[in-house]
Amino acid sequence: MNYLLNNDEAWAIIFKCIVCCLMNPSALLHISSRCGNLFLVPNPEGNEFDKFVKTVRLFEWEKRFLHPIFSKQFENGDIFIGFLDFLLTSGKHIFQLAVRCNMTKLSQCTRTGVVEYLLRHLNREDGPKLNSFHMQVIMRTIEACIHDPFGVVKVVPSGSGGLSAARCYVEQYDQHNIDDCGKSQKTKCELIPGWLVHWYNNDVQARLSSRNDLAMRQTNDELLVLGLEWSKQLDCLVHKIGIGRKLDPSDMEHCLCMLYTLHQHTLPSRNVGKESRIDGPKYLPIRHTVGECLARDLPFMSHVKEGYDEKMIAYQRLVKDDSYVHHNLPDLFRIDFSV
Amino acid sequence: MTDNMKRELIGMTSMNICIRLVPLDDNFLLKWKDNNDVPWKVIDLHDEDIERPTFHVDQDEVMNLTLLGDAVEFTDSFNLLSKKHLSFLTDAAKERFEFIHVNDDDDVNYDEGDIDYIEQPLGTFNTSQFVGAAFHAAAFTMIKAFDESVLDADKCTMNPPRHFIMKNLVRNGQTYKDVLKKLNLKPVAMMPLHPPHLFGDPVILIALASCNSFEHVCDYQMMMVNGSIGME
Repeated sequence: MNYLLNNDEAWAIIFKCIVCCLMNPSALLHISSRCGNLFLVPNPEGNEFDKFVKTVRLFEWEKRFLHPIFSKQFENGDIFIGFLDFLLTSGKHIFQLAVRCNMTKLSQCTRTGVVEYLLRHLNREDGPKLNSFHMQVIMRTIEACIHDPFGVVKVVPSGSGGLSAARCYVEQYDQHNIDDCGKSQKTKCELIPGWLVHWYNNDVQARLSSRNDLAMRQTNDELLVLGLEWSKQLDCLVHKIGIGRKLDPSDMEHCLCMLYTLHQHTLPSRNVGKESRIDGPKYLPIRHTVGECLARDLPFMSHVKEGYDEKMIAYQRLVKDDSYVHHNLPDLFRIDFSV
Repeated sequence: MTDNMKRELIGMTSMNICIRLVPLDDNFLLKWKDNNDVPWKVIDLHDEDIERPTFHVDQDEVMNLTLLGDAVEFTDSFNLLSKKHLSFLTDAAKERFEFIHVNDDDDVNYDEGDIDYIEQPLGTFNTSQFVGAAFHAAAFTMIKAFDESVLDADKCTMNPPRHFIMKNLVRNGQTYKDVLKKLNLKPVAMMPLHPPHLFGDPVILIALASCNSFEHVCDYQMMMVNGSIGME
């Protein structure tokens, strides 16, 4: 929080994260390469931003420039550029005030209060109409680059997919949280991502501290595939790439959305669909090439690719190990039609 | 040989799909010949009117239909066939051609993009399913991002998940289909795959790169000691 309040670099990070969230990754990489911007997204200060805007204006505006989550929020390019201009002039102040106004006596920040504050001040008459999930997408991206700038992540707004999947965990949540049985389903759904973080941390810790060599090896392989590791210092799971952020409810909300999507794919109308693509604008691989160079070969992807072979070996080991309980994808997600 | 040349070779060895439009009235042509009042319209189509499908095709499905062997490569044809009502036309082309338009009271919706999928009732999930799904999805997110795809006229065009399965998981006597079925990998290998956590999301990865955050693994503990981040 102090970093956000006292450091100009923090605002540059926030601005860049917002641009990343709003734009379709393929379009963003394309425009960045046209700008010759090595850092992919323009700095709010200096001439990088002007160059970026000029390049965006070179193209006839299309909704596919935008990330699908935000595609309905910006009717045209002018609204999009206008919103970025507004952020340049007022964004830093708004974000800093959002944190200051939601400080508790213990110098902690209440994240839900920040969401409400930002929604009140970023939504304007002539701008996009953002909702709490849009704010969550922006805030979780910022939180991937700065540690807990809006306070500890406990409860996060869900998208429709995440919420639908969360409802499927209410029964199990009730079994583990008897004290919460009286709470409304909505409240429980909001608490479920946090509960899943807590549950998975405990589960992994129990497996790692067991004296069962097989269970420990399987758990280490599982974490390797998931891109996580156990931090003894923090006594919880952290991500291996990036800033070493803790596994948090934002990750679990994302995962719940994944479960929902996977399950919906088992519906007949989808599994033999005419659009049985294996990619999408929200998912890897990013569709972009610079000459003959694919997005996956761009310098920044080397950080993601690091340890790929090791991960795949671990994955194969577990898949071929019948004693590993998750060696196949659960039958809940089975598509019964002929392969 | 360039990739495009290979694609051409594959194209030449593929099955050609011919679409024949059959009028509902068998004597339609005779009527036209005898009576000039029957409307007849020539539609001019150009390259830009056709949406080139770029989707993955369920190869086995096509093979079952055509009884052709494994050596035949299909890339897009089945998808083209499966499109109904000439919806492979671009939107601009649809607007030009009157016959594509339907009345509002027509119960047939020709615009597939507007059809909402029916939601599958979800029921209840458990934590084991949660970990299992996340585990496989994490692996296939990486496979789709980084594994090889084979584009070789002598073999077959293989997308990264298929290549990975064929190379690493198929054992003697097994087929690709066997492995896919046994491990239930179809939802993660053959469908668009939502990443299981944020660090498999392209937006987050580009943000990390833009903010130079890949290079700065912070000492979390030290920051806590300094008080720059809070503890619960």
